[in-house]
Amino acid sequence: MKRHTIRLMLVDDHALVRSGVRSLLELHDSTSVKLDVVAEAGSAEEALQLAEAQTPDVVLLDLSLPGRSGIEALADLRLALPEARFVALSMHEDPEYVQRFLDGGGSGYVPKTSLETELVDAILAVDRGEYYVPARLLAQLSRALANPDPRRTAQLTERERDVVKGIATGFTYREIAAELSLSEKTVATYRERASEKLGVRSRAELVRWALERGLV
Amino acid sequence: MDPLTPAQHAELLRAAFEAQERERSVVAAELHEGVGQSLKAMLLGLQSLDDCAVAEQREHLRELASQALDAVRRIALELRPSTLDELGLPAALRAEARQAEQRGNVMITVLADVPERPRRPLGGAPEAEVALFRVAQEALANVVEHAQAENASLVLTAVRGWFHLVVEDDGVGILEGASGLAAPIGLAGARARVLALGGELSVESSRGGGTSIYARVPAL
Repeated sequence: MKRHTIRLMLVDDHALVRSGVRSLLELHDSTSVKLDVVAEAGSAEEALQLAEAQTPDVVLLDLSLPGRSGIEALADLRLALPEARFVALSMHEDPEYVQRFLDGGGSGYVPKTSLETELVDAILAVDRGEYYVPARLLAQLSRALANPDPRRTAQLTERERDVVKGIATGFTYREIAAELSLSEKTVATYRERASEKLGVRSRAELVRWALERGLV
Repeated sequence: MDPLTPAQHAELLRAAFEAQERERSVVAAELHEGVGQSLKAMLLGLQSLDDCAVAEQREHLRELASQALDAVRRIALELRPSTLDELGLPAALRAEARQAEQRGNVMITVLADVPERPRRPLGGAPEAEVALFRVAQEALANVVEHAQAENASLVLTAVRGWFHLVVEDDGVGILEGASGLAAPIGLAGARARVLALGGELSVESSRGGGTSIYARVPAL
């Protein structure tokens, strides 16, 4: 019987991680399936450039890419590769990430800490058209859905969100004020309100919140 | 001779800053490896002396050598931490923040979210990182010495090809002088470095409302 080949694209900004994952996949020895890494990209842009020529079946996507966030990249990559299935490789085990990735059209989620045990299973599952989330994350995810943390579900108004986004990008109050046609004082007020809703106290925490949610 | 174009001027400045950093690296390494090692050897030698009659004097000498060793380490670190070259800007910023916390009574939360880069030889950190590190040093000095702040944040991000550094505190704010929101004097050198790289530095502050120092430079 001819082996079924799964064509893979690997998107991660660390060359070391890419080569590690590649050798992990090359180790996979099965009579029925061949895992073939046909493309590697260090950024979402590079992945988009390679997408047309390579048309992978499954894309392994790092969620913390430089520049655009993995979630944003997912939307673009899905447009470029409508047939492909997407598996997140992530440092984060927070259910919020899993939920956002699946909401964004991803099919599988593998924490980088358990690549050895879960990655191949995840690739095989999504290639069959199934979804893959490790059991322990699934348990957290269902708990999180049952007991939403106010901090996660806090609804920022559009203005508050815009201000937080500007702050997380590193813009000054003056720049944010000019961009949104507000006074600097109002910018400060929106920031205070947003921080209060999110339960964060410092700029560092506020920016972390924004980065984790792919606002920047 | 034709006057320098702004581009040539910026190029000269950058060369000067680079030379300065290289020299600092050399001096820091000399201090740490050379003088530091001698002092360390002296300390060990003093410890091994065991004539009871000179015990008191020995203790005094040991104390002196120990103080000198601390001073050498501190100076070497301030001149140019090897962390910056070897471990990169986030690690250097975290170390700098920890030291600032020890010098002043302030809690500093650090967020440094930039891609990792390979280790560089001593003195080999990219110019953009060196410039931002110098901004952070000056900004933290300001937090510790003048701001009377309880909390501060140090945030480093990489967004669309730029590094953004913001140091923000909840202190008394920089008092407005004739020039309005002028940067503190100590920032002048750091500002020149940032400008030479095509970056920007600005300060926002209000009386009693804390101070935010923003710097951004192209990441390449």
